[in-house]
This record gives sequence, structure tokens and C-alpha cells, in this order.
Amino acid sequence: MHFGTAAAALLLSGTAIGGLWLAWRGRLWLLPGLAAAAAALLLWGRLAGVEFGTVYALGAGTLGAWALIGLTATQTGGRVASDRPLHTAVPSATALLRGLGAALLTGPLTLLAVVVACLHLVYWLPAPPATRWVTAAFALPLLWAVLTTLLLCTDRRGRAALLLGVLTGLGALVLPSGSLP
Amino acid sequence: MSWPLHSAQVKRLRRAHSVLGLTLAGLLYLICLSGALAVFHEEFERWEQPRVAESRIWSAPQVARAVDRFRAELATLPDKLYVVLPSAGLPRMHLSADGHERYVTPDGGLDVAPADGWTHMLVHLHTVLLLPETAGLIVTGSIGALLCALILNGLLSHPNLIRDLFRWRRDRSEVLHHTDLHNRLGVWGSPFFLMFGLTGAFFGLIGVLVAAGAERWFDGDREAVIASVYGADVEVTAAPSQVDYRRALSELARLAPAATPIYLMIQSPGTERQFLEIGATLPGRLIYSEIYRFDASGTPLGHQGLSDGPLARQIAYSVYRLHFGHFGGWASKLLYGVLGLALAWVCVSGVNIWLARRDHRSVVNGLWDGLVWGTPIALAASAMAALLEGPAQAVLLATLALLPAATGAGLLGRPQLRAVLALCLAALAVVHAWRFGIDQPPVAMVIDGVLVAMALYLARPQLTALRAPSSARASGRRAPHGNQEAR
Repeated sequence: MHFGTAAAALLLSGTAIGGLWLAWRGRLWLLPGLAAAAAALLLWGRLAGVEFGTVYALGAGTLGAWALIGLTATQTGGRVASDRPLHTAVPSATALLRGLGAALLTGPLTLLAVVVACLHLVYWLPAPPATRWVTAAFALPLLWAVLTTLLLCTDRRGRAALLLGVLTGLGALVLPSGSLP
Repeated sequence: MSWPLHSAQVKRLRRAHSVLGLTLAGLLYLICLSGALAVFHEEFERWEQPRVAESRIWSAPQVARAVDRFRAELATLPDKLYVVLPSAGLPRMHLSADGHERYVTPDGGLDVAPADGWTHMLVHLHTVLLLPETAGLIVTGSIGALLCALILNGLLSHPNLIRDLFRWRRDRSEVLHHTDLHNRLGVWGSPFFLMFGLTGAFFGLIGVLVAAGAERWFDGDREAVIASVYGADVEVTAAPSQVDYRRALSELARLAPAATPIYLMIQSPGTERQFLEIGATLPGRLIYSEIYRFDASGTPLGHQGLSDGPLARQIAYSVYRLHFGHFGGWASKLLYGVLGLALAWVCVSGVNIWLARRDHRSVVNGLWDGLVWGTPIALAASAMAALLEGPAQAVLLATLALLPAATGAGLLGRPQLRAVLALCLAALAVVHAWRFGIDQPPVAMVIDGVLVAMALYLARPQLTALRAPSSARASGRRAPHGNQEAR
């Protein structure tokens, strides 16, 4: 890795974060910060290739933002800071235990549903085998995340769980057997 | 810009985030902290066995001699024999087959076996939580997927995301201090945290999908499913008895001049079906390796297509380096180490918010402090046990059980835990120096130096108290840092 280009890319990432910070403070238009971020991404890509460069650009941005937040920590209180507690009340021990129980039950149920859904994806996705399996493998955690969130957010959790169970069972029943098309 | 969700929906999302976060916090913290350390597993391996000869230079005759001697040691012919080549991170060659391993000396002789010690345990703690392989992978993969859920509902339940983008009200209440830290670390780190969760879930849960799919469509043959993703092995018959490593390597240099070999794998060694695979990294690519195949006489048989095959195959084979940060030398390792520690801190601050918002302390506060401080203490204590050839895993588990119990019962508090951690880190550096002397490779010296520096940082309250005038101590005044840390 060329030292001079790496230093320039780091500087550009720092400039981008600084520009975004100034925009956030209302002292600068947003565009220069975004332009610097795009330029930093391009420079990192040129320096280390598209794959490594994207990771470095994101990483430099993240570390830069954290550093800036740490440095300005005591200065930011005045503008719109509101030292009020969070909106939701602290759950009681009973509510918490009920919630923990729901989370522990929700996890396996939604996993089962998502595995069945992903097997359908493998079967029906019109793509080469590698694409089907890899798409399903990445879809599985994402679908599970969405479904868990939805189920934990609903008030009628029992009914939703029952519906999900029925749909999962139906999905498993209609999943074609034999060999993949 | 208005938030796309109503306040009632945000409230529900926060509730889901709290419940899921509190359910997973302990295990997620263990996985994140051990993962942040496991990024440096190559350096820890060198630190754990600093006397093994190191060199990045290797040759085909050295490989041939070492493989012959290694095969002579094995009772039966293995299916696969690996020659892991020296790299910048781990400049040691080692051989492995059927669970038997040996380092290789520069003249092709066999050295000691790689230690099945602390580093190995650390990686296992991160990947399978020290559980049996399959169950452990499913548990950690599930936690990876649920980390994605936490990121999703965490981001969606944050209507002030832009307004608070750079804010850390460190000087306000404890709740705001922890909330801002949790949110800022979480929001800015979310692309990486999501990637950690997604790739971690990929490792852990692809097995579930493959098992289910194999049962349904491949008569239970999981290898067939894997071959449909990564490509199948080649079939070789009537191979010569000796593998021509020199020719295979020179053919590789001709076919792929930019490729850097990282390992050789001899399939069915010593049989007429044997052939050679050379795994090699390509510049700027996240794929773990491209696999180049040669018959035993060194004639090319083609490559697997991991770098230029279907995009899905390339993505699947990039997951390891993307997850562990093993692609750009020290820069990427340091980046991933910091990100891993930040994610661990997001877990800690998330529970701290919940604890700080309660109007009372209970046994839960102590248990949580015990787990948070007890994990690094347990890791340091188990490393010491491993260096002294003791039962590292038992020490780790016992410490992880005892410290939260002691803090839960009110026998220990945060200041004491901090002092114990400082003591353990310093003792670990001392035990390492005592065991191996001070003439060690630079990487081992750096690790010992970091341990001492961390111990001194953590012991600041005690050191300040020691340096305070005796009159101040006699009058019962506490050093300023002591108060701060006790808080």
C-alpha cells in the first residue's frame, strides 16, 4: 500500500466526517461532506481495490466519527439536548420475564418458519444452484431478523405465533421433493 | 425529515429491542469480546509458542521432505494432508492431517506440534461458545442473526437518529451518558455490526439450510449440496507416487503470477488418486483463496473458480476474510479489533442503560458487573493456566461462574474487579516472561508490553492512592480517581 496515497485517503475520510459534522451543526451545506466521502471512497478503491477499499473507506469513516464524537462530547449539550429519560417506562420484573420468555419462544418458531421459506427460495429462485443457495443463506438471517422483530412488536403475539406455525406447517407440506429443477 | 414510523410503533420497537437485547446481552458480549481478540489469533499463537522457528522463506524441497517425514509418523494414510505455508501474520510452516499437526523447521524437519492451547480455546469460544461443534455453530449463528434483528429494530426505534448523530452528553445523567454512547457507537458502526451478524449467521446457519435441503433433494448427501455451490472435486487415477511440488509451483507462477500460495493440500496422499491443490490469495480480493489443482506430476488440472466463477460462489468464499478482517495486514486487524470491542461495548452500555433507569440496585447489577469484568479476567486467568500447562478451559469456566456469583452476592464490586483484572494482566505478562525469557520475537514482546500497559491503566486508582500523601490517607480523604472509578 502506497503510504502517500493512504495518508491522502485518510485525510479525505477525515475531511468527509468533518464536513458532515459541520453540516450537522448547521455551519455548512451537506454536499461538500458527501462529495468528500465519495472522493474518499474512490481514492480508497484506487489504493486497495474495490473490495478492500470499500471496507477501509467505511472503517475510516466510522472511526473518524467516533473520534469526533469523543472529542466534542462535552461541547454538544447545549443545542437541542434534552436531559429527559427515554420515552418508554422501565419494565417491571414480571414484564421483563414475560418478555424474555416471549423472546426465547419467538426465536425457534421464527427460525423454523424462515428455514422453510428459504428452502422454497432455493427451489423456486430461477438462478444457478450456487446463487440459489447463497441467496437463501444470506436471506435466512435477514428474514429471521425481520420476523422476530415483527413478532416481538405485535400485541397479539399468541395469535401471530399460531398463524406463523400454521403457515410454516403448510409451507413444509407444499415444499416440492424429488430433485431441484 | 420526518421519521416514517408512528410513536406507538417506535415504542413497540424499543420494547422489542430491550427484550431481545437483554435476552442476548451476556452471550453476545462473550462472542464480541472473544471475537475482537480472535482477530489477533495469529499473533497470540506466536506469543503462546514463541520458541518455534520463524521464517517467511520456504521451498519445494523443504515441503517434500517435511511431507515425507510427516507421512511416516502417521499410522494410516489420511484423506487430506495440509501444508500451511508461512505468511506475514504467522511466519511458520505447519503440516496437518487427521488432527495430527507439526511445525516444520527450515531444513524440512518436523518441529513441535502447534499448541492446542489458549488461542485455540479463544477461537472456539468465539465460534462455538465452547459447545460441541454443530450445536455451537447453530447457537452462535443464531445470535448473529438476532444481532441483525437488534440492529434493525435499534435503528428503526431511533427517530432522533440524525438530530443526535454526533452527540454524546457525557456530562449529563448516567442514563444519557450510556444511551448516547450506545446509540452513537451503534449507529456509526452499524454497517460493520450488520456485516458481523450476517456473516456470522452465514457460518452458523448455512449448515441448517444445507442439512434440510440435502434431506429434501439430495438423499441426505450434504457434500452434493456443497459441491453445487463451491464446485466439485476432480477425479484422478494412476497418479505417480511422488508429488512434484517444484513443477506445480512453477506452473502456478506461470498461470497466475499475482497469486500468493497460502497452503497446499494433497488429496488422497500416497495413493494412485492423489493430486495437489494450491490455495492462493489474489491481490485486492476478499475471497479466502483461489484453488489451483495439479496432478502429482505437477501438470495443471484447472482451478475451482472461486475468484472468477459465479458471483454467489465468490461472495460465499469471501465471508471468512470479511468477518475476521484477515485481508489487509495490521491495518485491517486493528480496525476489526476496535470494531469488535466497540460492539462489545454496545452490548454493555445497552444493559447499563436498563440498569441505570431502574430506581434500585439488585442482584442483577452485580451479576452483570461480574460478567462484564469477569470475562477478561477469566480470559487472562485461563491464558496463565495454559502457559503453565494447566486446564485453561476449566479455569475459564470456573472464573466465569465464580466472579458473577461473587459480585451478585455483593462480595466484590467494580473497583475490586478492575484491580483484579489489572493484577491478572500484569501477572500474565510476568508468567509469560518467566516461562519463555525475555529473548522473544517482537510480536510476543509487543503483546506483553500491551498487557503491562493495560494493567497500569487499570491500576491507576491504586497507584494514585499509593502516591497520595500519607497525611491525606490518614485523614480518610480518598484520591480523586478512586472516587471516580468507584462510581
